[in-house]
Amino acid sequence: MNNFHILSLSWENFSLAGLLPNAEKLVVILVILLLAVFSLLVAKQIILLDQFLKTKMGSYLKAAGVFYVFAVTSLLILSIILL
Amino acid sequence: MADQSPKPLPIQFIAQNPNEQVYYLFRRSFVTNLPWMVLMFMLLIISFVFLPYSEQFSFWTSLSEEMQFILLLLWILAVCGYGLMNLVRWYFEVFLVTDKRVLDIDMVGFLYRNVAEAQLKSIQDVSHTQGGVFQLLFNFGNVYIQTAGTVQNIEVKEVSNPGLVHDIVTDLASQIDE
Repeated sequence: MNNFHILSLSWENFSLAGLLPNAEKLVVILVILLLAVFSLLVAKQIILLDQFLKTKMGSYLKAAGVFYVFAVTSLLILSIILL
Repeated sequence: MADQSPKPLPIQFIAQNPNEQVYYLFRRSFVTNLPWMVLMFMLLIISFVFLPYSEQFSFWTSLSEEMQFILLLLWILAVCGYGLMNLVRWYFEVFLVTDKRVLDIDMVGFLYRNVAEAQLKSIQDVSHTQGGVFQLLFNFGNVYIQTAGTVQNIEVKEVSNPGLVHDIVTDLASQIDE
């Protein structure tokens, strides 16, 4: 292994840490991105359900769903700025 | 004993016919929400109990303050999302009884929805089951509605007072037949 040298390449050149210096930050942002996509699906499902069955409480839940999307999107933006 | 002259509820649904009136709306017993509510409460409490002792965990102290803040917000939002999802699922999983038909809206997971309906005149048999400590203690159970032909049978799960639901559907179906 120590003799593995082709065109001046060595195993040290293939360090993941070198490629992704902030791997843990990227993972956190990706997780928040997934949560944001999920929140969009939740909000869309609530809107569809509210259209199916029109009630007063349904409109409150719809507002809660939209607020949840807003909160997760804000967190995503905040994480991109802070991290 | 079911009310013989049901009053229409101020509820509208998308497939409602012009002169159709909703007489009853049933949903899963509120007690069935307790497991997820307790879990959600515990998950939220964990985050606040963890904070004062967080310095004892090296993985947490190795993170920057910004990262700690973001992770805490992420945890709280994920738990709130779990709660919202379960609340919406409970609220919209309903069993509607109108003057013409019965409708059952079921959700499998959160993104899959199943709507089954049967005309009152096609209802052949209604039965209900109630068993187990919690179902007996809090008076909820399952109601099964068998319909004629190839129409899908309807299963109303964990509804409050299944005996009353059974009686209401049977009475309305028999009134239609007369």
